[in-house]
Amino acid sequence: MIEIFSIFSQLLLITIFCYVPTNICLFFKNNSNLDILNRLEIGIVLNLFILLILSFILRNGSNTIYYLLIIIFLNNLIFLSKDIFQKYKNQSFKINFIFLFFIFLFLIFSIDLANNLKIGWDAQNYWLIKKLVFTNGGDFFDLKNTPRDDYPYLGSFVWHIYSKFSLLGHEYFGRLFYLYLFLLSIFSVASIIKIKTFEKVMLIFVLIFLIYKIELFNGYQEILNFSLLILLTKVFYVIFSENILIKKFDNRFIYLFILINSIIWIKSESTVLIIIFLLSIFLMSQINLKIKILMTLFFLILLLNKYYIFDFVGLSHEIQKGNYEYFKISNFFDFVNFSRIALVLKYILFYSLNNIAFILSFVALLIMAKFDKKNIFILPFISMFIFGFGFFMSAFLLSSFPLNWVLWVSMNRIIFETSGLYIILVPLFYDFLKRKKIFKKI
Amino acid sequence: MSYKLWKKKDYPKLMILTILILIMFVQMNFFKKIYFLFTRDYETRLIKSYEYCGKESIGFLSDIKKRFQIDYKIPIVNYTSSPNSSWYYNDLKSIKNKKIIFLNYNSNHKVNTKYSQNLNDYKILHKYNNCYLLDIK
Repeated sequence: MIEIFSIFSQLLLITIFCYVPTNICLFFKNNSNLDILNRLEIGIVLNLFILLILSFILRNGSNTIYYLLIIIFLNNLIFLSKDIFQKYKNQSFKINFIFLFFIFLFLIFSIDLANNLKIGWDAQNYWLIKKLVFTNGGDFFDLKNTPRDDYPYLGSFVWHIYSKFSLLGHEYFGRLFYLYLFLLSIFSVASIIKIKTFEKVMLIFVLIFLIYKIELFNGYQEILNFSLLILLTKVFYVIFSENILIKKFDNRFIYLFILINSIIWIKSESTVLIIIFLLSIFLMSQINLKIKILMTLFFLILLLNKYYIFDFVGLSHEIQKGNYEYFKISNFFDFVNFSRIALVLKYILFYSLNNIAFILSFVALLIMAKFDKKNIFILPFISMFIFGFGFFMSAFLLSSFPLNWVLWVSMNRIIFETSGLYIILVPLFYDFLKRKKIFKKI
Repeated sequence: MSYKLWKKKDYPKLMILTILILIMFVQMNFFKKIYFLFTRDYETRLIKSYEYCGKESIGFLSDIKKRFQIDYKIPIVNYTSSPNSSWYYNDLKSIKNKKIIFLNYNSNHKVNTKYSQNLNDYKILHKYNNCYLLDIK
């Protein structure tokens, strides 16, 4: 019973930590009609950013950042209580059915997670070890003593913080944050189209049925990348669906870069995924050249910042240390030859078929490209697929590790996290079918 | 203030939703899992998630921790291709001791460790299949 209560309290804890006051919400979104899920969507990204900043100032044995987090928690709690009280007073307090459904799914999946406590292979070897550095009172200078010090650590730090602040202190309470973020991203992407509540619930159900597997939450960081990439494509969609020609660098771009910053601190390959995203949206003529240059500059600053901090701490800044050490231009054809290309293609095909959401997004894109040619979002998503394919090919072909093994252990995870860029196509496809009145014809 | 969540015309939708939720519950063994959450503590569920003596062997590690009342970290040598399970003893003290754990021990297979891999060099304190708690002689 106590464990159920603790799961519920963890839900409250994460919600309060991620709740943002109206003013901050309005700073990032021009829309004044904000429901709780909108607020949480902004809040969870800000929360990750705050945690990243706090991880820099955390020092061995010091409790300062924990006190700061308690202050943030109390501050958010006051605003949440004030907002609820005000709505109740104005008699505008309505039960948000979608949020209730969110809570319901979170509790169900939390119980699933509480019964599958096995941590994955890489998670035990790398991510949990990084988490334990913080749990044992260490700071980010101690990360250089962990295996794969070239891996970023934000996911492990979040895991530590949320298990530390939980009632029972078990490690899996930290991973409940991953579940919360995953669900929030799915609910968020399902809300980009204007549909009735029941349709939205069904859409969420379909997406979750296609994606959810308990193994996604066994400590691997791909679920964080996947969820944050969904939020990233959503922000991009929202910005571009409102403004046809982007000339001004408004506050939503700040939010976009806070989000990008969080993503590049999750995994090494996140940087490549962001480059794929940026290159694809830069193909759009709707973005002013000045904005493209500014976005590139901001991204470079974020990368340099990460590089500088890694250098300062003494962490390795190689991407995938050891994975590409034997590749040279002189032995190019030892790496890129017919048999290796065929092998990589085989794995891409089979693991893509294994990822139904990925296939569904791909099919949706093909249909929309054929029948919805005026849609300005088709081009960037086609290029995301092409660049994504190029990334899979080059990442594996140039690997110095035994190809069969590296494909076997990591291709499915890479495809999964990259599919975060495409999931938005599922609700867009549903909207397209509705616009074409396909359902009425049936 | 009174709220009416459902109108009569919403009942079919509610039915569909309930059926889907029930399918989901059955699919993920939800009722069994909620029962286990009430009847099994965290430690039991953690041990059941892994093999007792195989791969990470968390069950064996937990057993010897309780049986020998161990409150300090013991070096672990794992002979199978598996992550190092020393994280399980993370909350224990780091003090010098003469104990060592061999998991999935195989005399024909050598692993990269500073410890002798010959069982004759140790006193066997506890054994279960190929998992050993040893004392360095």
